[in-house]
Amino acid sequence: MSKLIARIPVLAKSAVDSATPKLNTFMRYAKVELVPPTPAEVGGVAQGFNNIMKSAQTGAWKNIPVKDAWRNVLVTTEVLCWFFIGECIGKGTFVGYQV
Amino acid sequence: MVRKLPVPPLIVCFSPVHRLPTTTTPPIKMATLGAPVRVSPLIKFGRWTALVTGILYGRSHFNSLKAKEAVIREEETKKQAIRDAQLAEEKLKNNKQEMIYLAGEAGVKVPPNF
Repeated sequence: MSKLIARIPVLAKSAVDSATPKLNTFMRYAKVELVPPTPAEVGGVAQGFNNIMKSAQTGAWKNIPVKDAWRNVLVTTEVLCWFFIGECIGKGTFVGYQV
Repeated sequence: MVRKLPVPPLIVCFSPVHRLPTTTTPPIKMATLGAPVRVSPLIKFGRWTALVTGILYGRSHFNSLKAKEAVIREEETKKQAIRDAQLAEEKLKNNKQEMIYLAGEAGVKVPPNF
């Protein structure tokens, strides 16, 4: 038993060593892709929203390629799914409310 | 073309330090990930607001359901107590009647204070 306990720091170190490059890669992408929008990007948010409204009003949304439309559908679905992920975090369980 | 495995000499086989490769595997091709994508601010804003809204909604809905369930549970325990008392009373009455009937069937005299 003491041998097992003595092996734990060695195992932990080797796990950390093997995971660090993958973690670094993840952080490299996360810093660009997963960060929340900075205050400087608020203008971009309004602009994007206006683009959507304009394309809806002028009817330009009917002229985009199917590939782009499908991509937009997928991105919208992903954004909406974050709401359900947040709900699961808020209620504490994945399935159902444990009242 | 048949690949021949290199046969290590006996000394190398049994020495604890030297190792020769016993097989050659082709290099595994991993997909290159490419540069990180600059996500549009609207999408980022949408994702994070959806996440935060979801967390807040989940918590508030959970609290409201918990409050309702507490009220229902309290009422249920009260009703259960009353129901248990009623059932026990009925059971006792039925037991007595059954015993009287059985006494009649078996020909046993019922004692006066039963």
